[in-house]
Amino acid sequence: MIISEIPMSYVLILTLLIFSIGIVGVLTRKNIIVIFMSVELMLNSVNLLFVGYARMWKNLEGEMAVFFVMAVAAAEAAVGLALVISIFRTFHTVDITKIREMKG
Amino acid sequence: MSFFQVTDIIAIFPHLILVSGALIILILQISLPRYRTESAFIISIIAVTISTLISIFGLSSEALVSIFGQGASGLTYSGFLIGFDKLSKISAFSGHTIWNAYSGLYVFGILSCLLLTLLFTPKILKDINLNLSEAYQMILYTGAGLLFFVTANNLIMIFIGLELASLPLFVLAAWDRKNKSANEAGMKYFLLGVFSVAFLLLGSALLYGASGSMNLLDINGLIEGTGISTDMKRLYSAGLILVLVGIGFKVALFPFHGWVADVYEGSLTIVTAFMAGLVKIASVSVFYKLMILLGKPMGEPIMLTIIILSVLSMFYGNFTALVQTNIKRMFAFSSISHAGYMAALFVIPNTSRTGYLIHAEASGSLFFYAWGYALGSILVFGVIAYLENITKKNNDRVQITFEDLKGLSKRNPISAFLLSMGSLSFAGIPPLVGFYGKFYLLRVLFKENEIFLALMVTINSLIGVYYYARVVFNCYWDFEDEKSEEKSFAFKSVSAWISGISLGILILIIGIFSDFIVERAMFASLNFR
Repeated sequence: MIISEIPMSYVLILTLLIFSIGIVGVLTRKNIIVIFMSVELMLNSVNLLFVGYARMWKNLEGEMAVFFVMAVAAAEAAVGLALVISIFRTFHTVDITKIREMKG
Repeated sequence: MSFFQVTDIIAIFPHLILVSGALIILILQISLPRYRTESAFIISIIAVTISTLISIFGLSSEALVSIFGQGASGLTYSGFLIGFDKLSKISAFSGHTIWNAYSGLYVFGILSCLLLTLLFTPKILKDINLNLSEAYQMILYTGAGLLFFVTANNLIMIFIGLELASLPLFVLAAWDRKNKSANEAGMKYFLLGVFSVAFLLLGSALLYGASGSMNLLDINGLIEGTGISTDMKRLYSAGLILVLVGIGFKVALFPFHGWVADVYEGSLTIVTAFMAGLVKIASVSVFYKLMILLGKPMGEPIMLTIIILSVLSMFYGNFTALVQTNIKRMFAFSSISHAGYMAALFVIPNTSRTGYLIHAEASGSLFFYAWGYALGSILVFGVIAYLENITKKNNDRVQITFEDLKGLSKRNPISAFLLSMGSLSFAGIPPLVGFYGKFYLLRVLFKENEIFLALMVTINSLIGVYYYARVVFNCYWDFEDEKSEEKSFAFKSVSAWISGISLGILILIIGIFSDFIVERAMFASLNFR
């Protein structure tokens, strides 16, 4: 099958599949870094959707969005990993179930 | 065709001042041999003051021409006091950012709150030995991000503004880096923040798929004009809900409130003031804008959802606040209920009675409520931050509980007075700004026959009085035996005094000028597009 024949619904379904995998990862995993990777998975699945719709509508707004999302995801990674280091220094673990200082 | 035009620069002039302030700090920090952190504070104060003045008084066309040259002739940047009724609008970056009076209103609200919070900051940071100039950069970037957030007219700009505001806030939340709860708060805020932003993005992508554009006004034109097909409508509704979920996290509406209590409690209290004041007012504004442009044309189902969320937020926030002993947690849960009150205004239909797109009264009272709430929470959290400094034991931050407040009026009369004032303002006691906020809110609800919501707001205000009054009661009446503790002053720095006193005065007198402010806000809302 030629690429241009792939229907939009396939892209949407694939996106939602990857996005759901990301959600499940965030909700079930205990390691902060893995949770963070799952969030990145969610962001990147959205990129796929943006590109798909940009092809469907034949305008470039969706393609443009992808660059912004990637740049912001990189910035997020910088901040997030710094926070993980800070967490590891104070708690000596990156297990989210063991990071419980506050109650209520 | 040139990519940048003068109009682009003018539309984001206050944002640019904040960003350049941050960059100047960065450059001075690495280039001056005898650089001191105080200069970072001074530079950031100057930057925020200039942009606040611009947002209040605006820039006349002569001033713009003298700054930008002839390219700017014929343009004005209207401020809160001057020129809102002139129907001015500056569209920049091919419609990605629009400065109109509605966003100008919130630009003013955010910048005034930013200035007042910033004045509290240096002493707090000094006391934990983390008074680095990066903190002021982060604060300026947060401010700039929030301004981009409220002036955005494009889904991707909303995303970028939100991220530019949140990423520095994640860092600030964990600023007290040796403290365990600060680290935990930063981590929770970060993980839930990026998680919610992923939903915002998926929603944006679906909206883009349904309408073929990411420009809010274009989408609105499409929905209200030719309409979209039934298939696309489903996509559109899903996208809209996901976008509102993403923003709802920042507003802290009921099902998305999970982070609020822990993050507010764990972060440095002055950072909590940022989250409670600035982020709230900005995200409420964007939520409302999205409801007007994208939500309300969809009719009943989405309105019903918002009504349910609003009522649940009120009840959940109030009932959990009732049982808290930690005072920061108490204010955190009460902020959820305040989000619920504000969400009640989101469901007022766009009226066509006056022929304008936006219900001016609802929008005006929403601004007044949000601004009053932001001022109140900055005052309350600022005072708590200084109380924590006074009561801190062996250099470790302590949480203030209701027990610690006992006898505060003897030990620290000014703190007790300001804290009670903020509390009573939240509760809605007459001469203070919170009362007028609730008054205008209820007036709009009654006028639009939203009796159920009005009733819910009233009941919840009554519940709220209990725990807000408990703060006052603990400060003033509930003495243990006469503990002969030495008197201490509220704030130990000049800037915090300035901010504390001016916040106190503002909360006291804004009510008198409420008519004027709501009228300005209504003018601004008529000029929405």
